[in-house]
Amino acid sequence: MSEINKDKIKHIAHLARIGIDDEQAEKYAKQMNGILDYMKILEEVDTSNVKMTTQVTGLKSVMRSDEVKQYSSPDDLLDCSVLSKLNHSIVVKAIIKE
Amino acid sequence: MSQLDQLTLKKAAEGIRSGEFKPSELTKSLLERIKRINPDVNSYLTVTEEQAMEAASRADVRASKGELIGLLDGIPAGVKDIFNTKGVRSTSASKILDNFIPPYDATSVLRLKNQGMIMLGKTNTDEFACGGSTEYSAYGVTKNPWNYECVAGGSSGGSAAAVAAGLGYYALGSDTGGSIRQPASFCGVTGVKVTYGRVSRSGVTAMASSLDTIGAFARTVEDAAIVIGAMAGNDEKDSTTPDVVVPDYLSSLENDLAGKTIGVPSEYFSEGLDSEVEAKIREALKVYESLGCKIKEVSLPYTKYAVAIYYIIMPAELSANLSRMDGIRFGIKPDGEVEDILDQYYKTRNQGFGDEVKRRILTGTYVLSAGYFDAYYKKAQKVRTLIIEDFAKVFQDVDVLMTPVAPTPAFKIGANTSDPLSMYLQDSYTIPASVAGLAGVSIPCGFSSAGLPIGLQIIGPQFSESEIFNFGHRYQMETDWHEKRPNV
Repeated sequence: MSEINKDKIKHIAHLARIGIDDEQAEKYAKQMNGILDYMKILEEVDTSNVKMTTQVTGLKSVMRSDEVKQYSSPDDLLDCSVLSKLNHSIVVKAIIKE
Repeated sequence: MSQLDQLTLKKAAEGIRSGEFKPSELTKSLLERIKRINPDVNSYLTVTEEQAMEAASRADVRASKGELIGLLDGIPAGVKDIFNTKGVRSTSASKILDNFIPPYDATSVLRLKNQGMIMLGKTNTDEFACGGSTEYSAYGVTKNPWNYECVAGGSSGGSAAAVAAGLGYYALGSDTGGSIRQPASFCGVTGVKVTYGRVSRSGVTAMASSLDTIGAFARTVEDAAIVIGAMAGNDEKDSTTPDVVVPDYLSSLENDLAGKTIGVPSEYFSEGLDSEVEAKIREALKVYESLGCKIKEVSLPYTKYAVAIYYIIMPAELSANLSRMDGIRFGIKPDGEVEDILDQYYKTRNQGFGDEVKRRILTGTYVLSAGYFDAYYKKAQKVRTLIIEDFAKVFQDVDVLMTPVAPTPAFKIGANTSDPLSMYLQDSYTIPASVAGLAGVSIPCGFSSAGLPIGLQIIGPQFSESEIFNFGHRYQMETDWHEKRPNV
């Protein structure tokens, strides 16, 4: 389990699409090292013959009939976005510099 | 009638039925109290006075015609701000959703509205339920009604404080790693964390999807059982809600406990547990002994790994769930010029999320990234299996487990914010049951010498809500800790 430095944090932040600055990167790197150090406690557990948990109440592939149901109007749902709307769509161009 | 706000839900419902008071009188009384006390406590982020009074006058009509829907009809309550409430701002206590007005109600909210709930407003929480003290709310900390220098707990601290301070007869919360049980304990109220999947999560902002549960705070176990009963059950909008029958929780509340076995896991009484908390838990166990229960010391050896696996699994799931907060589907317009779509994401998310949420998203992204997935996430899900097996073994011998809820009573505001890990370790008694998807309840069982409430945690197997309510209610028949109210 490798150590986190400022550059690594910046790369992770890029993957998470959070634009952090150098000062934040320093701080998070330090804190995350502390957190990941604590996780090392798990290394003492032998899990070689243990299955991963994926679901705790034993449900498997819950199916439903493939019917279209309308709960909210598309326009109401689009209103969740702060971007401009035109013809029942979000205007994506508005966020990209021409 | 004075002190309307101090009644239990049950008593309030009886008063409405007997014509002693009307739903609108209850609602008005509570709204006035919120105006007076909320500026200090910061329990409610949004107060929906107008809608509440409208709903109350409709309930008045039903009451006068003898057409009340049920016990919850006309009863005012608070709803945690991560629940979607149609037409009412729902921020999840995050700047990124500062202006979010959902187009629909969460299933749990809708079910309660159909039972006549009067929603008073939206309660404070740590941002996206990420925290154990509401100190990570973007809208200020909720103060503990028993001592304003202390936290109310979290993440559902606003709801817990509301019930404690008489600002709602019950309040909704969510519990992913302890976010109902711990604030209930800190504020001296009853808090229920249901079995994973017992109550639909549809319409509640997802935090960690394999752990999130919806529950409630109330003044008594009986009140909480009424609320849970109204919300529980299969929902087509949440595929993790199994078609398991919802029993009538009220019918078994007073069942005799003689001959039942209570497990006391030694791992929960080790180093780090405050001696006053331990003493109160042991006293509570004596009460159960007097009711004919057998106390059995048990061991859950994998307990000590629960916090570590939780802080891998939860951030992993959180980082995926919060990817929708991208400034396109949800989120704010960032300040300043935006270069391109990537820059738009960067700025929206850096400006919109608070420190703890960012820390968790980064941790989650890291443990899911190529090369680390096996070492962290997969490993954590394997150790999770061992914790589940620990509980399964113990429940062959005991009916329920009893433990402290938190290592200490409510801590001072600011005491744990500088060190994320020390805050995480506050959850070490509530996380294991969450990881295994079990049912749990926190009930008041005494006070510290400083006058802060202490909670007893009762944990039962999955879908054992009837049983843990029965245990909790019988205790409240014998004791009066749940009747104590803070002087606010």
